[in-house]
Amino acid sequence: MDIVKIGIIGLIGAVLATTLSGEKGYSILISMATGLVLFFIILPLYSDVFNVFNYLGDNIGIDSRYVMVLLKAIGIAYISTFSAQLCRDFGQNSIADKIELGGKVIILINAMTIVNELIEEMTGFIM
Amino acid sequence: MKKIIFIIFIAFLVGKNVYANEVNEVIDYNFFELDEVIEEKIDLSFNELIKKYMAGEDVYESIKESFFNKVKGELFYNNDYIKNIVLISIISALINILIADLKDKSVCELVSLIGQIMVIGLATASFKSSIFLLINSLNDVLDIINSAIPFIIMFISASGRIYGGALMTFGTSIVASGIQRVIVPILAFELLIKIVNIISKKNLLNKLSNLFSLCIKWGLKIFSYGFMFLVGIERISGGSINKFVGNYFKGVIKMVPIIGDVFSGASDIAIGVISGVKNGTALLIMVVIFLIVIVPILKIAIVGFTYKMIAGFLEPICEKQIIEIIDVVGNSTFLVLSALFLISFMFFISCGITLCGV
Repeated sequence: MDIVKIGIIGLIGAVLATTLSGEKGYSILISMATGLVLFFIILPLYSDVFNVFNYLGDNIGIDSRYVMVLLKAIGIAYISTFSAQLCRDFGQNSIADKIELGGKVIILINAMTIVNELIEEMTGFIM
Repeated sequence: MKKIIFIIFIAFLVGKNVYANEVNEVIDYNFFELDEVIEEKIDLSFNELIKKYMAGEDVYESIKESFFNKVKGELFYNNDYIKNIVLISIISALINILIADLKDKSVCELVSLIGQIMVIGLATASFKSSIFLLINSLNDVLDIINSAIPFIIMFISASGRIYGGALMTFGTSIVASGIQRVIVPILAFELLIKIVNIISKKNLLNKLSNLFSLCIKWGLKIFSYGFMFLVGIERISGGSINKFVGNYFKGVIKMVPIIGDVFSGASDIAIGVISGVKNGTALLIMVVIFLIVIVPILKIAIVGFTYKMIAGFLEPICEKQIIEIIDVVGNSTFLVLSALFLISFMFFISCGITLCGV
Protein backbone atom coordinates (compact mmCIF):
# COMPACT_ATOMS: atom_id res chain seq x y z
CA MET A 1 0.00 0.00 0.00
CA ASP A 2 2.11 2.83 -1.31
CA ILE A 3 -0.39 5.51 -0.43
CA VAL A 4 -0.33 4.47 3.24
CA LYS A 5 3.50 4.64 3.18
CA ILE A 6 3.38 8.05 1.53
CA GLY A 7 0.76 9.33 3.98
CA ILE A 8 2.68 8.14 7.05
CA ILE A 9 6.01 9.58 5.87
CA GLY A 10 4.32 12.88 5.04
CA LEU A 11 2.62 12.99 8.44
CA ILE A 12 5.84 12.16 10.35
CA GLY A 13 7.71 14.82 8.36
CA ALA A 14 5.03 17.41 9.11
CA VAL A 15 4.96 16.59 12.86
CA LEU A 16 8.77 16.68 13.10
CA ALA A 17 9.03 19.93 11.18
CA THR A 18 6.38 21.53 13.40
CA THR A 19 7.96 20.20 16.58
CA LEU A 20 11.41 21.39 15.61
CA SER A 21 10.22 24.68 14.20
CA GLY A 22 11.92 26.45 17.11
CA GLU A 23 15.32 24.96 16.24
CA LYS A 24 17.18 27.04 13.70
CA GLY A 25 17.28 25.36 10.28
CA TYR A 26 16.03 21.92 11.37
CA SER A 27 12.48 22.50 10.25
CA ILE A 28 13.59 23.31 6.70
CA LEU A 29 15.98 20.36 6.58
CA ILE A 30 13.26 17.98 7.75
CA SER A 31 10.73 19.26 5.22
CA MET A 32 13.38 18.96 2.49
CA ALA A 33 14.30 15.41 3.55
CA THR A 34 10.61 14.43 3.71
CA GLY A 35 10.04 15.90 0.28
CA LEU A 36 13.00 14.00 -1.18
CA VAL A 37 11.95 10.70 0.42
CA LEU A 38 8.40 11.14 -0.91
CA PHE A 39 9.73 12.05 -4.34
CA PHE A 40 11.86 8.90 -4.53
CA ILE A 41 8.93 6.77 -3.38
CA ILE A 42 6.58 8.32 -5.95
CA LEU A 43 9.08 8.23 -8.83
CA PRO A 44 9.18 4.41 -9.24
CA LEU A 45 5.37 4.40 -9.25
CA TYR A 46 5.52 6.41 -12.45
CA SER A 47 7.53 3.64 -14.07
CA ASP A 48 4.29 1.62 -14.22
CA VAL A 49 2.60 4.45 -16.12
CA PHE A 50 5.64 4.76 -18.39
CA ASN A 51 5.60 1.01 -18.99
CA VAL A 52 1.99 1.25 -20.16
CA PHE A 53 2.94 4.04 -22.58
CA ASN A 54 5.96 2.04 -23.79
CA TYR A 55 3.70 -0.97 -24.29
CA LEU A 56 1.46 1.20 -26.45
CA GLY A 57 4.54 2.27 -28.39
CA ASP A 58 5.86 -1.24 -28.92
CA ASN A 59 2.70 -3.26 -29.46
CA ILE A 60 0.06 -1.04 -30.98
CA GLY A 61 2.35 0.43 -33.61
CA ILE A 62 2.44 3.99 -32.33
CA ASP A 63 5.75 5.71 -33.06
CA SER A 64 7.81 5.31 -29.85
CA ARG A 65 9.70 8.58 -30.48
CA TYR A 66 6.51 10.52 -29.84
CA VAL A 67 5.79 8.64 -26.64
CA MET A 68 9.37 9.15 -25.41
CA VAL A 69 9.23 12.90 -26.04
CA LEU A 70 5.98 13.17 -24.09
CA LEU A 71 7.26 11.04 -21.21
CA LYS A 72 10.52 13.00 -20.99
CA ALA A 73 8.48 16.21 -20.95
CA ILE A 74 6.45 14.99 -17.95
CA GLY A 75 9.58 13.81 -16.13
CA ILE A 76 11.34 17.15 -16.66
CA ALA A 77 8.20 19.05 -15.63
CA TYR A 78 7.92 17.07 -12.39
CA ILE A 79 11.60 17.32 -11.44
CA SER A 80 11.85 21.04 -12.20
CA THR A 81 8.62 21.83 -10.34
CA PHE A 82 9.66 19.73 -7.34
CA SER A 83 13.13 21.33 -7.16
CA ALA A 84 11.67 24.81 -7.58
CA GLN A 85 9.20 24.10 -4.79
CA LEU A 86 12.01 23.02 -2.46
CA CYS A 87 13.90 26.21 -3.24
CA ARG A 88 10.78 28.22 -2.46
CA ASP A 89 10.56 26.40 0.90
CA PHE A 90 14.02 27.77 1.59
CA GLY A 91 12.80 31.19 0.61
CA GLN A 92 14.91 31.21 -2.57
CA ASN A 93 12.27 32.35 -5.06
CA SER A 94 14.81 33.66 -7.53
CA ILE A 95 16.60 30.28 -7.79
CA ALA A 96 13.20 28.54 -8.02
CA ASP A 97 12.28 30.70 -11.01
CA LYS A 98 15.58 29.86 -12.70
CA ILE A 99 15.00 26.12 -12.16
CA GLU A 100 11.54 26.39 -13.72
CA LEU A 101 12.96 28.33 -16.63
CA GLY A 102 15.65 25.66 -17.06
CA GLY A 103 12.94 22.98 -17.04
CA LYS A 104 10.97 24.76 -19.75
CA VAL A 105 14.08 25.22 -21.91
CA ILE A 106 14.99 21.53 -21.56
CA ILE A 107 11.40 20.50 -22.45
CA LEU A 108 11.61 22.72 -25.53
CA ILE A 109 15.01 21.30 -26.56
CA ASN A 110 13.59 17.82 -26.05
CA ALA A 111 10.63 18.67 -28.31
CA MET A 112 12.76 20.28 -31.01
CA THR A 113 13.09 17.04 -33.01
CA ILE A 114 9.29 16.87 -33.24
CA VAL A 115 9.03 20.61 -34.04
CA ASN A 116 11.67 20.18 -36.78
CA GLU A 117 9.70 17.30 -38.27
CA LEU A 118 6.54 19.40 -38.21
CA ILE A 119 8.27 22.35 -39.91
CA GLU A 120 9.71 20.03 -42.59
CA GLU A 121 6.31 18.42 -43.08
CA MET A 122 4.56 21.79 -43.44
CA THR A 123 7.24 23.24 -45.72
CA GLY A 124 7.01 20.18 -47.97
CA PHE A 125 3.25 20.49 -47.85
CA ILE A 126 3.17 24.09 -49.12
CA MET A 127 5.93 23.58 -51.70
CA MET B 1 -22.61 27.41 -80.45
CA LYS B 2 -20.99 24.06 -79.80
CA LYS B 3 -18.63 24.56 -82.74
CA ILE B 4 -17.58 28.00 -81.58
CA ILE B 5 -16.77 26.78 -78.07
CA PHE B 6 -14.93 23.81 -79.44
CA ILE B 7 -12.80 26.01 -81.71
CA ILE B 8 -11.97 28.24 -78.72
CA PHE B 9 -10.87 25.19 -76.74
CA ILE B 10 -8.70 23.89 -79.51
CA ALA B 11 -7.19 27.22 -80.49
CA PHE B 12 -6.46 28.78 -77.13
CA LEU B 13 -6.52 26.19 -74.39
CA VAL B 14 -5.37 22.90 -75.77
CA GLY B 15 -3.10 24.34 -78.45
CA LYS B 16 -1.94 21.01 -79.82
CA ASN B 17 -0.92 20.92 -83.47
CA VAL B 18 -2.01 17.83 -85.30
CA TYR B 19 -0.71 17.02 -88.75
CA ALA B 20 -1.58 14.32 -91.21
CA ASN B 21 1.67 12.42 -90.62
CA GLU B 22 0.76 11.97 -86.96
CA VAL B 23 -1.62 9.21 -88.01
CA ASN B 24 1.35 6.87 -87.57
CA GLU B 25 1.48 7.84 -83.90
CA VAL B 26 -2.12 6.77 -83.51
CA ILE B 27 -1.43 3.45 -85.15
CA ASP B 28 1.73 2.93 -83.08
CA TYR B 29 0.03 3.91 -79.84
CA ASN B 30 1.14 1.61 -77.07
CA PHE B 31 -2.09 0.12 -75.78
CA PHE B 32 -0.17 -2.01 -73.28
CA GLU B 33 0.63 1.14 -71.30
CA LEU B 34 -3.07 1.77 -70.87
CA ASP B 35 -3.51 -1.84 -69.81
CA GLU B 36 -0.70 -1.44 -67.27
CA VAL B 37 -2.36 1.70 -65.85
CA ILE B 38 -5.67 -0.13 -65.46
CA GLU B 39 -3.94 -3.15 -63.93
CA GLU B 40 -2.19 -0.89 -61.43
CA LYS B 41 -5.43 0.87 -60.54
CA ILE B 42 -7.79 -2.07 -60.09
CA ASP B 43 -5.59 -5.20 -60.30
CA LEU B 44 -7.26 -6.23 -63.50
CA SER B 45 -5.79 -6.89 -66.95
CA PHE B 46 -8.02 -5.15 -69.42
CA ASN B 47 -6.71 -7.28 -72.32
CA GLU B 48 -7.57 -10.45 -70.41
CA LEU B 49 -10.96 -9.01 -69.55
CA ILE B 50 -11.79 -8.32 -73.19
CA LYS B 51 -10.57 -11.79 -74.19
CA LYS B 52 -12.76 -13.38 -71.52
CA TYR B 53 -15.71 -11.23 -72.58
CA MET B 54 -15.26 -12.24 -76.21
CA ALA B 55 -15.08 -15.89 -75.17
CA GLY B 56 -18.40 -15.48 -73.36
CA GLU B 57 -17.00 -15.99 -69.88
CA ASP B 58 -18.36 -14.26 -66.77
CA VAL B 59 -16.24 -11.10 -66.61
CA TYR B 60 -18.29 -9.29 -64.01
CA GLU B 61 -17.33 -11.87 -61.38
CA SER B 62 -13.61 -11.19 -61.90
CA ILE B 63 -14.28 -7.41 -61.92
CA LYS B 64 -16.14 -7.73 -58.63
CA GLU B 65 -13.41 -9.87 -57.12
CA SER B 66 -10.54 -7.57 -58.07
CA PHE B 67 -12.50 -4.51 -56.94
CA PHE B 68 -13.13 -5.96 -53.48
CA ASN B 69 -9.49 -7.09 -53.21
CA LYS B 70 -8.39 -3.56 -54.02
CA VAL B 71 -10.88 -2.11 -51.56
CA LYS B 72 -9.74 -4.46 -48.81
CA GLY B 73 -6.06 -3.78 -49.43
CA GLU B 74 -5.99 -0.04 -49.92
CA LEU B 75 -9.09 1.59 -48.60
CA PHE B 76 -7.59 2.16 -45.18
CA TYR B 77 -4.34 3.53 -46.63
CA ASN B 78 -4.20 6.21 -43.93
CA ASN B 79 -4.57 3.72 -41.10
CA ASP B 80 -1.16 4.25 -39.51
CA TYR B 81 -1.54 8.01 -39.33
CA ILE B 82 -5.05 7.79 -37.94
CA LYS B 83 -4.06 5.17 -35.37
CA ASN B 84 -1.14 7.33 -34.24
CA ILE B 85 -3.36 10.43 -34.03
CA VAL B 86 -5.89 8.64 -31.83
CA LEU B 87 -3.26 7.19 -29.51
CA ILE B 88 -1.23 10.40 -29.24
CA SER B 89 -4.44 12.30 -28.45
CA ILE B 90 -5.35 9.83 -25.71
CA ILE B 91 -1.81 9.79 -24.26
CA SER B 92 -1.74 13.59 -24.40
CA ALA B 93 -5.05 13.71 -22.50
CA LEU B 94 -3.69 11.32 -19.84
CA ILE B 95 -0.49 13.33 -19.50
CA ASN B 96 -2.51 16.53 -19.10
CA ILE B 97 -4.32 14.87 -16.19
CA LEU B 98 -0.98 13.79 -14.69
CA ILE B 99 0.53 17.27 -14.82
CA ALA B 100 -2.63 19.24 -14.08
CA ASP B 101 -1.65 19.61 -10.41
CA LEU B 102 1.71 21.20 -11.12
CA LYS B 103 1.81 24.71 -9.72
CA ASP B 104 3.62 26.14 -12.72
CA LYS B 105 0.84 26.26 -15.31
CA SER B 106 3.15 27.39 -18.08
CA VAL B 107 4.96 24.02 -17.88
CA CYS B 108 1.58 22.26 -18.21
CA GLU B 109 0.77 24.36 -21.28
CA LEU B 110 4.17 23.58 -22.78
CA VAL B 111 3.71 19.83 -22.36
CA SER B 112 0.19 19.97 -23.82
CA LEU B 113 1.54 22.05 -26.73
CA ILE B 114 4.00 19.24 -27.50
CA GLY B 115 1.06 16.83 -27.70
CA GLN B 116 -0.74 19.22 -30.04
CA ILE B 117 2.36 19.57 -32.23
CA MET B 118 2.54 15.80 -32.58
CA VAL B 119 -1.12 15.58 -33.58
CA ILE B 120 -0.63 18.42 -36.08
CA GLY B 121 2.43 16.68 -37.58
CA LEU B 122 0.58 13.41 -38.02
CA ALA B 123 -2.61 15.06 -39.30
CA THR B 124 -0.64 17.14 -41.82
CA ALA B 125 1.21 14.05 -43.06
CA SER B 126 -2.10 12.24 -43.40
CA PHE B 127 -3.71 15.15 -45.24
CA LYS B 128 -0.67 15.34 -47.52
CA SER B 129 -1.24 11.74 -48.55
CA SER B 130 -4.88 12.62 -49.39
CA ILE B 131 -3.66 15.56 -51.48
CA PHE B 132 -1.18 13.28 -53.27
CA LEU B 133 -4.02 10.88 -53.99
CA LEU B 134 -5.97 13.76 -55.57
CA ILE B 135 -2.94 14.94 -57.57
CA ASN B 136 -2.22 11.40 -58.79
CA SER B 137 -5.85 11.01 -59.88
CA LEU B 138 -5.71 14.36 -61.69
CA ASN B 139 -2.44 13.35 -63.38
CA ASP B 140 -3.98 10.04 -64.45
CA VAL B 141 -6.99 11.83 -65.95
CA LEU B 142 -4.72 14.35 -67.73
CA ASP B 143 -2.45 11.57 -69.03
CA ILE B 144 -5.38 9.61 -70.42
CA ILE B 145 -6.89 12.73 -72.03
CA ASN B 146 -3.55 13.83 -73.51
CA SER B 147 -2.98 10.37 -74.94
CA ALA B 148 -6.54 10.37 -76.31
CA ILE B 149 -6.17 13.70 -78.15
CA PRO B 150 -4.93 12.08 -81.41
CA PHE B 151 -7.93 9.70 -81.32
CA ILE B 152 -10.35 12.55 -80.71
CA ILE B 153 -8.91 14.57 -83.57
CA MET B 154 -9.07 11.44 -85.74
CA PHE B 155 -12.76 10.94 -84.86
CA ILE B 156 -13.50 14.56 -85.70
CA SER B 157 -11.66 14.28 -89.03
CA ALA B 158 -13.30 10.97 -89.90
CA SER B 159 -16.87 11.93 -88.97
CA GLY B 160 -16.62 15.53 -90.13
CA ARG B 161 -18.54 16.77 -87.10
CA ILE B 162 -17.72 17.92 -83.62
CA TYR B 163 -19.07 15.44 -81.16
CA GLY B 164 -19.82 16.20 -77.50
CA GLY B 165 -17.27 13.73 -76.13
CA ALA B 166 -14.42 15.89 -77.46
CA LEU B 167 -15.89 19.00 -75.89
CA MET B 168 -16.33 17.29 -72.55
CA THR B 169 -12.87 15.74 -72.70
CA PHE B 170 -11.17 19.08 -73.26
CA GLY B 171 -13.36 20.61 -70.54
CA THR B 172 -12.28 17.86 -68.13
CA SER B 173 -8.64 18.47 -68.98
CA ILE B 174 -9.01 22.20 -68.24
CA VAL B 175 -10.80 21.57 -64.94
CA ALA B 176 -8.15 19.00 -63.91
CA SER B 177 -5.37 21.53 -64.61
CA GLY B 178 -7.33 24.24 -62.76
CA ILE B 179 -7.78 22.07 -59.68
CA GLN B 180 -4.12 21.06 -59.72
CA ARG B 181 -2.76 24.58 -60.09
CA VAL B 182 -5.29 26.65 -58.14
CA ILE B 183 -7.45 24.60 -55.78
CA VAL B 184 -4.77 22.25 -54.37
CA PRO B 185 -2.34 25.02 -53.20
CA ILE B 186 -5.25 26.98 -51.68
CA LEU B 187 -6.40 23.80 -49.91
CA ALA B 188 -2.96 23.36 -48.35
CA PHE B 189 -2.77 27.01 -47.26
CA GLU B 190 -6.30 26.93 -45.89
CA LEU B 191 -5.52 23.95 -43.65
CA LEU B 192 -2.28 25.46 -42.36
CA ILE B 193 -3.94 28.79 -41.59
CA LYS B 194 -6.76 27.05 -39.75
CA ILE B 195 -4.27 25.03 -37.69
CA VAL B 196 -2.26 28.15 -36.81
CA ASN B 197 -5.54 29.85 -35.89
CA ILE B 198 -6.45 27.02 -33.53
CA ILE B 199 -3.03 26.92 -31.83
CA SER B 200 -2.99 30.70 -31.34
CA LYS B 201 -6.27 30.34 -29.34
CA LYS B 202 -7.17 33.91 -30.29
CA ASN B 203 -8.68 33.25 -33.72
CA LEU B 204 -6.49 35.98 -35.21
CA LEU B 205 -6.58 34.43 -38.67
CA ASN B 206 -10.27 33.58 -38.67
CA LYS B 207 -11.21 35.93 -41.49
CA LEU B 208 -8.27 34.84 -43.66
CA SER B 209 -9.06 31.15 -43.23
CA ASN B 210 -12.74 31.85 -44.04
CA LEU B 211 -11.62 33.71 -47.17
CA PHE B 212 -9.57 30.72 -48.32
CA SER B 213 -12.50 28.37 -47.63
CA LEU B 214 -14.76 30.64 -49.65
CA CYS B 215 -12.24 30.70 -52.52
CA ILE B 216 -12.13 26.89 -52.60
CA LYS B 217 -15.92 26.57 -52.45
CA TRP B 218 -16.44 29.14 -55.18
CA GLY B 219 -13.65 27.67 -57.28
CA LEU B 220 -15.20 24.21 -57.15
CA LYS B 221 -18.67 25.62 -57.81
CA ILE B 222 -17.43 27.59 -60.83
CA PHE B 223 -15.84 24.44 -62.25
CA SER B 224 -19.07 22.51 -61.55
CA TYR B 225 -21.24 25.10 -63.28
CA GLY B 226 -18.77 25.10 -66.19
CA PHE B 227 -19.28 21.37 -66.46
CA MET B 228 -23.07 21.76 -66.35
CA PHE B 229 -22.78 24.39 -69.09
CA LEU B 230 -20.87 21.96 -71.32
CA VAL B 231 -23.45 19.28 -70.58
CA GLY B 232 -26.20 21.79 -71.49
CA ILE B 233 -24.55 22.39 -74.83
CA GLU B 234 -24.41 18.67 -75.47
CA ARG B 235 -28.15 18.46 -74.54
CA ILE B 236 -27.92 15.12 -72.79
CA SER B 237 -30.97 14.17 -70.82
CA GLY B 238 -32.28 11.18 -69.00
CA GLY B 239 -35.93 11.66 -69.87
CA SER B 240 -36.71 8.02 -70.31
CA ILE B 241 -34.97 6.95 -67.12
CA ASN B 242 -36.74 5.16 -64.32
CA LYS B 243 -37.73 7.81 -61.74
CA PHE B 244 -36.71 5.70 -58.77
CA VAL B 245 -33.19 5.19 -60.13
CA GLY B 246 -33.00 8.91 -60.95
CA ASN B 247 -33.97 9.96 -57.43
CA TYR B 248 -31.60 7.41 -55.92
CA PHE B 249 -28.62 8.77 -57.85
CA LYS B 250 -29.69 12.34 -57.09
CA GLY B 251 -29.67 11.54 -53.36
CA VAL B 252 -26.23 9.91 -53.54
CA ILE B 253 -24.70 12.81 -55.47
CA LYS B 254 -26.28 15.39 -53.12
CA MET B 255 -24.24 13.87 -50.29
CA VAL B 256 -21.01 15.18 -51.82
CA PRO B 257 -20.06 18.40 -49.99
CA ILE B 258 -20.17 21.78 -51.81
CA ILE B 259 -20.74 20.53 -55.35
CA GLY B 260 -23.41 17.96 -54.49
CA ASP B 261 -26.24 20.47 -54.99
CA VAL B 262 -24.92 21.61 -58.36
CA PHE B 263 -24.37 18.05 -59.53
CA SER B 264 -27.65 16.58 -58.30
CA GLY B 265 -29.18 17.71 -61.60
CA ALA B 266 -26.40 15.91 -63.43
CA SER B 267 -27.40 12.53 -62.02
CA ASP B 268 -29.94 12.14 -64.85
CA ILE B 269 -27.16 12.90 -67.29
CA ALA B 270 -24.92 10.21 -65.79
CA ILE B 271 -27.67 7.61 -66.09
CA GLY B 272 -28.53 8.93 -69.55
CA VAL B 273 -24.94 8.48 -70.65
CA ILE B 274 -24.80 4.93 -69.29
CA SER B 275 -28.09 4.12 -71.01
CA GLY B 276 -26.69 5.58 -74.21
CA VAL B 277 -23.84 3.10 -74.26
CA LYS B 278 -25.37 0.31 -76.31
CA ASN B 279 -22.27 -1.63 -77.23
CA GLY B 280 -21.40 -4.43 -74.74
CA THR B 281 -17.63 -3.82 -74.92
CA ALA B 282 -18.15 -0.09 -74.41
CA LEU B 283 -20.30 -0.85 -71.38
CA LEU B 284 -17.50 -3.05 -70.02
CA ILE B 285 -15.08 -0.14 -70.52
CA MET B 286 -17.51 2.12 -68.63
CA VAL B 287 -17.58 -0.36 -65.74
CA VAL B 288 -13.76 -0.43 -65.63
CA ILE B 289 -13.61 3.40 -65.74
CA PHE B 290 -16.16 3.55 -62.94
CA LEU B 291 -14.01 1.24 -60.81
CA ILE B 292 -10.89 3.30 -61.53
CA VAL B 293 -12.54 6.54 -60.43
CA ILE B 294 -14.53 5.20 -57.48
CA VAL B 295 -11.60 3.70 -55.50
CA PRO B 296 -9.82 7.06 -54.72
CA ILE B 297 -13.20 8.66 -53.95
CA LEU B 298 -14.02 5.91 -51.45
CA LYS B 299 -10.55 6.14 -49.92
CA ILE B 300 -10.79 9.89 -49.28
CA ALA B 301 -14.43 9.71 -48.14
CA ILE B 302 -13.50 7.08 -45.55
CA VAL B 303 -10.52 9.10 -44.29
CA GLY B 304 -12.65 12.26 -43.95
CA PHE B 305 -15.39 10.37 -42.16
CA THR B 306 -12.85 8.72 -39.84
CA TYR B 307 -11.47 12.12 -38.81
CA LYS B 308 -14.94 13.38 -38.02
CA MET B 309 -15.67 10.21 -36.06
CA ILE B 310 -12.41 10.46 -34.07
CA ALA B 311 -13.15 14.11 -33.24
CA GLY B 312 -16.58 13.07 -31.99
CA PHE B 313 -15.32 10.16 -29.89
CA LEU B 314 -12.35 11.97 -28.36
CA GLU B 315 -14.23 15.16 -27.51
CA PRO B 316 -15.00 14.18 -23.88
CA ILE B 317 -11.41 13.29 -22.99
CA CYS B 318 -9.07 15.37 -25.15
CA GLU B 319 -8.18 19.02 -25.19
CA LYS B 320 -10.33 21.37 -27.23
CA GLN B 321 -7.43 22.33 -29.52
CA ILE B 322 -6.61 18.74 -30.44
CA ILE B 323 -10.26 18.03 -31.23
CA GLU B 324 -10.49 21.18 -33.37
CA ILE B 325 -7.33 20.22 -35.28
CA ILE B 326 -8.72 16.75 -36.05
CA ASP B 327 -12.08 18.27 -37.05
CA VAL B 328 -10.45 20.84 -39.35
CA VAL B 329 -8.39 18.13 -41.08
CA GLY B 330 -11.65 16.18 -41.58
CA ASN B 331 -13.30 19.23 -43.17
CA SER B 332 -10.33 19.82 -45.47
CA THR B 333 -10.37 16.14 -46.47
CA PHE B 334 -14.01 16.58 -47.51
CA LEU B 335 -12.94 19.53 -49.70
CA VAL B 336 -10.38 17.22 -51.33
CA LEU B 337 -13.22 14.73 -51.80
CA SER B 338 -15.33 17.39 -53.56
CA ALA B 339 -12.49 18.25 -55.95
CA LEU B 340 -11.83 14.57 -56.66
CA PHE B 341 -15.52 13.84 -57.20
CA LEU B 342 -15.82 16.78 -59.60
CA ILE B 343 -13.00 15.62 -61.83
CA SER B 344 -13.93 11.93 -61.61
CA PHE B 345 -17.56 12.65 -62.53
CA MET B 346 -16.51 14.84 -65.45
CA PHE B 347 -14.09 12.18 -66.65
CA PHE B 348 -16.72 9.46 -66.35
CA ILE B 349 -19.30 11.49 -68.29
CA SER B 350 -16.71 12.43 -70.95
CA CYS B 351 -15.77 8.79 -71.45
CA GLY B 352 -19.46 7.86 -71.54
CA ILE B 353 -20.30 10.44 -74.19
CA THR B 354 -17.27 9.40 -76.24
CA LEU B 355 -18.24 5.74 -75.99
CA CYS B 356 -21.86 6.54 -76.91
CA GLY B 357 -20.53 7.42 -80.34
CA VAL B 358 -18.64 4.12 -80.71
